Amino acid sequence: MKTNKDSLKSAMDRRLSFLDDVPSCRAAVQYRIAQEEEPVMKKKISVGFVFAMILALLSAAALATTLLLSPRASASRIADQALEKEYGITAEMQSFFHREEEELADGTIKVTYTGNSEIEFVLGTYTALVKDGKAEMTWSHAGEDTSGGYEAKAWGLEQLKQMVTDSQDEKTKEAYLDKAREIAEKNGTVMEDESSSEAIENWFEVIEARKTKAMNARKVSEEEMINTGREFIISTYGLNKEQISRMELYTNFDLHEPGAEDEGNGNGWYDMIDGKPCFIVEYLLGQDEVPETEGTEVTPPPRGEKDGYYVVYVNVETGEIENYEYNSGLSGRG
Amino acid sequence: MVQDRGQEWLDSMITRWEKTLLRLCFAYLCDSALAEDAVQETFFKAWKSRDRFRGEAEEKTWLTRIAINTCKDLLKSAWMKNTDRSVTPDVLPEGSVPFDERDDTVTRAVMALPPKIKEVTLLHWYQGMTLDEMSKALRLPRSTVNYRLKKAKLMLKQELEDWYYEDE
Repeated sequence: MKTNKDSLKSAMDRRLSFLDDVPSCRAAVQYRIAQEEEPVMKKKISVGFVFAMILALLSAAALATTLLLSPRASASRIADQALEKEYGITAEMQSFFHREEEELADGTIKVTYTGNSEIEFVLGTYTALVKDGKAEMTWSHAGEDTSGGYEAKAWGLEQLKQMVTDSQDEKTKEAYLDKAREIAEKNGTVMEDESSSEAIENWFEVIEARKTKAMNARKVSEEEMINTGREFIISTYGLNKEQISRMELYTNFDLHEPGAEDEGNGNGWYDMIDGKPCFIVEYLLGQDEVPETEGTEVTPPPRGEKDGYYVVYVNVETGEIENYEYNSGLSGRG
Repeated sequence: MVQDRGQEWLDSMITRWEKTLLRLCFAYLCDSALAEDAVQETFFKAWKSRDRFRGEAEEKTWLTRIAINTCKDLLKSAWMKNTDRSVTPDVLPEGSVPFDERDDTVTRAVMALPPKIKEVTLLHWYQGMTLDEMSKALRLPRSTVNYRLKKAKLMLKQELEDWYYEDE
């Protein structure tokens, strides 16, 4: 049987017609615009931020925290340091890669940093073999010529520095992506992620069950785990006082927002990570809104050093840090 | 307050496109609250860059592009990556318009597609965009869009054989 574009559209329109009852966003958009147009500085303070500040004050006196890291998290931290020391790749630049850990038979932990989908070909993969607190680093493009900016077939530190700069400018933020794709295609690589194309049967149920399993295993309080995550972020990324004051807690924010609906069984911030039940501690480090002055175009506030999303996965049974990640937001296309 | 001219422009855009964009964002995000946020953000971004907008004919493409990018940003955020507030079509509320099993099947199949495939499916079959328009909106080469579109057809064919399949 054949169908056409209208059939699919009509079918979806009918099935999703319950959305017609959603109130219009008109008033909300107008309110935001009116706020933008006010020349007075408005500092946006969310309830999550207030919650984080209260936590910070409460815990300040009692902080003799000894952070416990799982072997994988510990290996990742060693690998991160080695990556910066040997190749100059900072935490900020790591957002152009995805990191994976694997425990080998001899106890060595293999940490790999592979370029994100569109830039995988040019950035290649960095591998750290971590054993006895030391990392041995290799790079898949080692020995290749990386000079010549985005024209080079293999991209190293020179290009990563340029990508960090370009990503922060609206006009150039996608320049490297187009170039990376072009180089990959020229070299016979199809930029498609085949592995993500398979829909998992009962995906939602599987995720839900995983989250509930993690939540039910909890022995450590959420407040303790949030503290652990926060301390880990501050110490690992070396945040200064000013940056710490801007840390905004995202974890559980939906439960603390005024008027928030009941979030079901409360498992939203739990998950099984590498088979371990974890609580997800997430902080945002961002900038205050920039006031608009009359006659000038609104521009987003400039990105600050170490701004981004920080996520720490804390084992709900042991309080150990199982894994962590930092996303500087620079690799997003927005 | 919003300037009168800007207000008029905004009103017109919201009246014409809000419902469509809400459905699009919902199908993409599988979360009505996030979809509402995405639509609000889309109009806000559109208003901020309205001076750059050229041409009535491209209005839908332009807004769709903003909406899709906003949805992608939401999905890319670390918060979203680690949180699952999404719903399955099984628990979708009944709408004001009657629908049959076929409508439910096709909606479920589209919503279950992987993001990249779902993106082109929604743009092409739901928003009626051409290959060129999608290429511009997604900032991807035509070949990549075409490849994903073929894959979408294949995946939907498997799911919806004898129901919805377009043999072009």
